[in-house]
Amino acid sequence: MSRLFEVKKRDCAARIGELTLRDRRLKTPLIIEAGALVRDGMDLLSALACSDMRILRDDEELMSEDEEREVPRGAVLLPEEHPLYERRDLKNLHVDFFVLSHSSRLLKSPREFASIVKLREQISPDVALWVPAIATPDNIAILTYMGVDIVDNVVPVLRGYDDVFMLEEGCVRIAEMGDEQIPCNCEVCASCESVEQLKEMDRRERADLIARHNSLVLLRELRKVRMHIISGDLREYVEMRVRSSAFLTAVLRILDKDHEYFFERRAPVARRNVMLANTMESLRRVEVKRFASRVIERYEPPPEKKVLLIIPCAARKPYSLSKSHALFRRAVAGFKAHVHEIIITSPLGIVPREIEIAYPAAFYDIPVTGYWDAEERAWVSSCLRAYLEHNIHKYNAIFVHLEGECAEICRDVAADGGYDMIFTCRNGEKAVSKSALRRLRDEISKFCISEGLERDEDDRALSNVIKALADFQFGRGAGEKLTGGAVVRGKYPRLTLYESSCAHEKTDAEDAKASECGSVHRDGNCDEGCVLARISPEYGMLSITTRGARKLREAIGDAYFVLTDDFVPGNTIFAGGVLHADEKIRVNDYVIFSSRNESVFGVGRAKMSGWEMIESVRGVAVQVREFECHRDDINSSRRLRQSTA
Amino acid sequence: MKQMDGMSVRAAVFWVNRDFLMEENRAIDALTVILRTRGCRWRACRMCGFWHESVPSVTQDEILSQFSSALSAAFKKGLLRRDDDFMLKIFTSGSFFDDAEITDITRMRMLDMLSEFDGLRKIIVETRPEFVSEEKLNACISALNEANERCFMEVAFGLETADDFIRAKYINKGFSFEDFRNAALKVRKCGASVKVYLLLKPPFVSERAAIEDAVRSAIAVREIASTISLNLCNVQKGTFVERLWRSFMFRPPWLWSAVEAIIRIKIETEKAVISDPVGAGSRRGPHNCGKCDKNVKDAIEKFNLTQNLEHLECVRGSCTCMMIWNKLIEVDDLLFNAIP
Repeated sequence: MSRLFEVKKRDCAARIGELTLRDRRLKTPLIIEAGALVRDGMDLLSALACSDMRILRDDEELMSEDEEREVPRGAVLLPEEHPLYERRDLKNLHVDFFVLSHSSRLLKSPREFASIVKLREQISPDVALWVPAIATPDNIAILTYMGVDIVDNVVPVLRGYDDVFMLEEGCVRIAEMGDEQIPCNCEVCASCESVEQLKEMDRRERADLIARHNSLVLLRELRKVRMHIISGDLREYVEMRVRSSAFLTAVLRILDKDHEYFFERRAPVARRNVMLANTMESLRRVEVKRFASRVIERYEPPPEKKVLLIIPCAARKPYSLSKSHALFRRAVAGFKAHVHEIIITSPLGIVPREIEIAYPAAFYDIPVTGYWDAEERAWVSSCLRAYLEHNIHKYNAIFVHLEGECAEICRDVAADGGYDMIFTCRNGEKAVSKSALRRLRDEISKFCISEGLERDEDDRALSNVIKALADFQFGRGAGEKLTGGAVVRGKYPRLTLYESSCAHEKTDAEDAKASECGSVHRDGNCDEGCVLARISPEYGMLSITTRGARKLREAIGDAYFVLTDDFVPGNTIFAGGVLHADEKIRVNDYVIFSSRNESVFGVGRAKMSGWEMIESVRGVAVQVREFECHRDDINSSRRLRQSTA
Repeated sequence: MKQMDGMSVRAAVFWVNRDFLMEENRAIDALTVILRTRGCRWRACRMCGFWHESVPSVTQDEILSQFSSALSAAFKKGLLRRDDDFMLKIFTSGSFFDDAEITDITRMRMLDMLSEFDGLRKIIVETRPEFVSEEKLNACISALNEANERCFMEVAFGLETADDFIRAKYINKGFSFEDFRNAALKVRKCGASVKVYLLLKPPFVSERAAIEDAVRSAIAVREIASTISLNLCNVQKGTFVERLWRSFMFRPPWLWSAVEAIIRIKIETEKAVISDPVGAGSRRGPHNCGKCDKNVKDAIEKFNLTQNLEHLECVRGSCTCMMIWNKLIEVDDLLFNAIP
């Protein structure tokens, strides 16, 4: 439980925070400088009383709140081997930061290094973690990725004194640098003409220069890391950065494999960025696994569609806006109502058409070569297998319109599972070729007619999209409740769900306007109050209104629900005001909130995970979008529009 | 535990080197004899692996024969000469005054044997404080005087540190400063001198804290001890410290730390200060960068024999790695026992 530290922004487990030190605010991730700027560190150390670990601040003090303190209070984390170690609950200590002692042990193996996340899990999320004497330009990205908030430049300085020149991608001894220009343009290197000049320098003078250079590189790297946290793509950056060493690459793989739960609990449910899946590690990302598991656990194919059609992905997102998908859809146009499309793709596995705009289905990019490696194939076929196991009974036939290796995956799954699949691309034939498309059309219509399925061009797609997205986001059953008695309007993918009683009078143009301006009040019985939900394609999510939330709550109960104390919120609800929150909530989820006395009811977006809302006392928990407030003293019910952001 | 029968009759380990005879302010030969007894009774100190050398089944006769054959072999091999002065260190990887290791009778017989060595000027024995009694001391000292009246006696205690917390929690030594003080005062009262072993860098103590602790400890014992021996913590097989070391949680002290501590202890105490840099330059022993270790070790050894600080002063700064060490000491507070 912290008082002088606050997390301002999260990107999965990485955070940007603020540590208040008397009158100064230090931004984390923070580098404590071991050189001239030692005062930050010393100030923090004064909070620890002493660096000698036996002078841990005594328990009583750490258990008590000290609202007056001006300097962050810290405590030292000891390894289990330490004679003073005792197993205890670290979450109820009133501290602002923890320091990990004996941090060198982390370097023993990648597994040890990855164990930082275990510590992170043991301490409160709103407390900073300082891992001393370990940061280097090449590991600071992954340290931050694991949730480390404070590091120092001890190693860069000491390596500098040892004549080691550091760069973001690794280090080299001065003696091995050749006599070329220095491969850096920091202020130190800019003042030096060549490596030769460095080499000729007095050893002591050079030591200080290289130490300074190394520290500047660390700082530069930290700034990059901070930038990537803000833009929400630190994972991509980490995947890039760990390439420079086998150790760090192993750390990332171990994190993905052994600490999946840690990151699942912290990964945002959606973000605005394109997810780059350029490495082997990308297959193991939380976003990928979460998508796959929600397809199985939350998604339900529309029951009226009896024909499954498996098609390839497209570079353009959402897929249906792509040329190839337009061709596929035209080919089955006559029987749209009966055909259910799922898209096969790496690394997401399979994407049912209705949720193609969900994050990250509409937000990823992969290197396309036509070649699928063994891991990709295994993963994608496991996804397809799982989907068919769950849903095969809902279909009368499976058509596969895939070319090349992609079709092979289906053949393998068909053979393993004993499924009958009709392949509409011949060997070597492109899926978009005229012959293949004609065959697709003919086979589908032949089958539908033989099954007595009538021609039907209305695929009820729009309603299905909102229903599927609601299920995907809030759990099974949410969509049916939300869309029951409601009408969808708008141009795909900008769809809006209205109460059916009023939506019939509106035109598409009005809808588009409504979704842009939000609060425009219109004449007649149709105003904002009739909107239940709308798709925000920027996030690949369904945003809900207060009215929609009331309907949803009947179906999902306390899922995605935040219970607050009795107050009328402003633009934000702070963690301190949260009494309870659903564990499933992740950053950027749409959540429903209500005060304990039920006078306030509204919707917003989660800014931290549900468990974090409960465990934290500081930080923004929910960004409020709108709420209704019924208060006896006001003697009327009013609806406040809070923010449209 | 080793249970090898052949071991018990195996001879004691012994060697001869030069050591400083504090009483006469000069260096003379020193014969060190390590007797194989049943070993230390405590055997719980975190850095100590000496008791692995013990032989549980050894008999008192065997110990006596180990002792006598080591003594005669030292002369036979020409390591010592009859006419020269020398000192004798009788170590047991345990306590000389622990009756379970060496009985009263054996101790007396050993001291009796010393009558034939005219050159013997001093004997040094080691013990834990709980085995010290005035009775035992008096008996030993009078036996020694009878055998050789020119011979001093010194009793060494492995105090390690004057800080009870470090000794109890980090070293697990099992006795307090008070225990040591009482035993040491008895030694003084009986007419022998006291040697104190201090441990430079116990486990869980950082480099700078270790130096400070050694200096503080030396100051705390300067009224009692005649000789201060600074042991540089090394990584012995089968110890807790070895486990820490393998987990990157312990690094033996830098030799620069030893140099710094020795200089400060010498200046603060003006006692005989010695430090045998066992294993210096190896990964398990005290070490610097690898290039200067030999040099610094030699300087320490020269100082041991001369007590002249110039040997240490002039080796300081002789290697660029001292810059690294200086920085390390400077940022010690930021390290929280990391070994960067």
